[in-house]
Amino acid sequence: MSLSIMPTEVLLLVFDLLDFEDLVSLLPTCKHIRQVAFYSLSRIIDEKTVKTISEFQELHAEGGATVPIEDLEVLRSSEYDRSRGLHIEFTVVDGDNQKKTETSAYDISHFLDLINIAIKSGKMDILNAELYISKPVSEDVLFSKLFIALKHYSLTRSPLEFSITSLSSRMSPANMTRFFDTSKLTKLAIFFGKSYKDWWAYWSPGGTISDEIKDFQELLKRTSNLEQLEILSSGPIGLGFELTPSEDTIQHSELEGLGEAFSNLKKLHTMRLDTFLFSSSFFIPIPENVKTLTLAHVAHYPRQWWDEFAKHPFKNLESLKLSLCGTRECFEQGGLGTHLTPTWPSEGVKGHILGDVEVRGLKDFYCDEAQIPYLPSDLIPCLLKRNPGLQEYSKRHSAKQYSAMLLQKCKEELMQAMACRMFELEVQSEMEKKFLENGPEEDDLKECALGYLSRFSSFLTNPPVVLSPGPINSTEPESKSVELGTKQLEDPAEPYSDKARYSDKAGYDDNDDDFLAALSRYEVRDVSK
Amino acid sequence: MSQIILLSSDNVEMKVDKEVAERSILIKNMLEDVGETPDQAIPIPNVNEGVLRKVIEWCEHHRNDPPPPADEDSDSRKKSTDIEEWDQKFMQVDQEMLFEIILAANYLDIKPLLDVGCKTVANMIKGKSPEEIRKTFNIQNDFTPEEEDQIRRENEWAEE
Repeated sequence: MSLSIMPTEVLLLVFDLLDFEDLVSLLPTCKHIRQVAFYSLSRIIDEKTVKTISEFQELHAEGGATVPIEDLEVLRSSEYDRSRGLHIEFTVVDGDNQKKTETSAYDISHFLDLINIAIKSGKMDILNAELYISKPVSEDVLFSKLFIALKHYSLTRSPLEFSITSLSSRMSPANMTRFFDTSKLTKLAIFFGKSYKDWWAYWSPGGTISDEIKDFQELLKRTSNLEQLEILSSGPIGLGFELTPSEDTIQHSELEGLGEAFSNLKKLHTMRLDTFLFSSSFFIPIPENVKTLTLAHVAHYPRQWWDEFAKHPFKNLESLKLSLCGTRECFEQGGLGTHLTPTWPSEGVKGHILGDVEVRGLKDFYCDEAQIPYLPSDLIPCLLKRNPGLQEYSKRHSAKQYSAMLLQKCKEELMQAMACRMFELEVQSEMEKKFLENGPEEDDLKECALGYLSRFSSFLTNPPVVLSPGPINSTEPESKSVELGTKQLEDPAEPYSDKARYSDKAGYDDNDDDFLAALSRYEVRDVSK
Repeated sequence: MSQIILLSSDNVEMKVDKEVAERSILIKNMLEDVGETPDQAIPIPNVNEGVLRKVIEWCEHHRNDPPPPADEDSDSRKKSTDIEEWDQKFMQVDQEMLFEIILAANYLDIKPLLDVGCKTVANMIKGKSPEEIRKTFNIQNDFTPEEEDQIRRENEWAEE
């Protein structure tokens, strides 16, 4: 009987009684003991982290300590070699006060050396560690070793002296909480979605969406120094979440807890949402100190999301960007997750009116042209009205976009007026003809008059949409540009095909052509009558 | 005082006071399930006579101890590896026996005895180098020379 063949549960009980140094001494003894000692080490470090965070928070409660950090740069996947699984960059400052960046190709030992020097010699400090993890790191003992070393170093420094940037695509929130001294996380880009669950499941197989919500909530609770946050979706944009049936199983109270954790990120100043989180209607309460907010793919947000947005008290928001996709490439585009059937909210927000917004003090506003059809109709005017301090270019841009929408509405009203006049002439001509043919038969003339009403009401029910999007305040579903033809008018009950309804390929120029063509056809027909 | 009979893995019967045997949660639950004191011996298939005698000795000595709290805070357990004098002497056995007692305590669900065993082993590890730990517990080094070299290199950061 030897220690090395004792069952894991007993070894854990023994190792839990040991200090950090003793556990480190156990690592090189044998494989089984090494594995168990690693587990105990991660637990002991977690406890230290909690202690360090609370001590730090007490010390700096009134200091308002912030970690200086450069502006958020969007990470391009091409900058990293995915095959290596881990990309690390250390920003270090040497004994001569020279600042430099240390990168290395998958050479974990190099970074362990740097940490060693930083801990022992005092001749070098690591200011920031940037980690990009694109492999399920938990299965790799080398990675675990590096994280433990980094955590060890991290615990010897205050958040003013050391920060961590995590651009992880394949590390679950639970593992981040476990491996990082999270009080040092200042910049975090995190991927969510179905395909990532497969990797996360390595450590917690069978984890439910509730577990994910709790894990992410736990991580946010511990990242009190987070300044920049990006939430990204795995798989083709936005398809990461399997909404059915998972969404039904999400408890409202769970998301409330998560929302609270977001609200408590007091140092967060930059936020980017590439997708909704867990549920399309879950509006993440944007923390009060956020100055820059980017929302991508807003097409998928339902009405209640926008209502929450309108009510949310943005206290310090200066820059708002509604982008289509941004410059970020999707790591898993076309890969895992593509088998999922998109189950977007079918309702859409077309014609939805907010009334007002609570956003004040905006200086920059940008909205991608392609996003406009998917926004509440009055979002842009509300933003312009409530934010007189917008910079000139933002105003010009918004004015241009909004003018295009108003023009569209005018065009449609004009179409209606023209159609009305045209039906009038058509019917009058028919009535004259009947009068001449049959004399003043009241029934004949009445029939013609009723035909006028029926044609015009058909026109209103199925108006020829000349632009995509449709009328600004319309509550009708989107329609493809269609020609205003006789068949359409005579057979209004024929439904548009789904293909036509959801096609949004038509551009403004094409639609202008359609509009003119429709008019000219009317003119031609009118003249011919 | 009612007594019960325990049957060790090597088929040796031992008469023991029910109160003493019930220090083991496993036996206590078993007796509760049966409902009355059984006439037949209760088999303890994982524990041999020598170890079972040691375990009974410990239970005899601690028969009047208050039961451990149901949900003992792991932190309070963690704070100290101090062991009572009697328990220290009790644990002065060869390593083979020490691990057997720990395994028996784990199997029989005798938490205070398991704690004493774990503390004893933890005290044997404390302050030792990896090589000393291997020697103390006769641990076979199963790393390849390359793995060992890599581990040594990785571990430098934490060594004094």
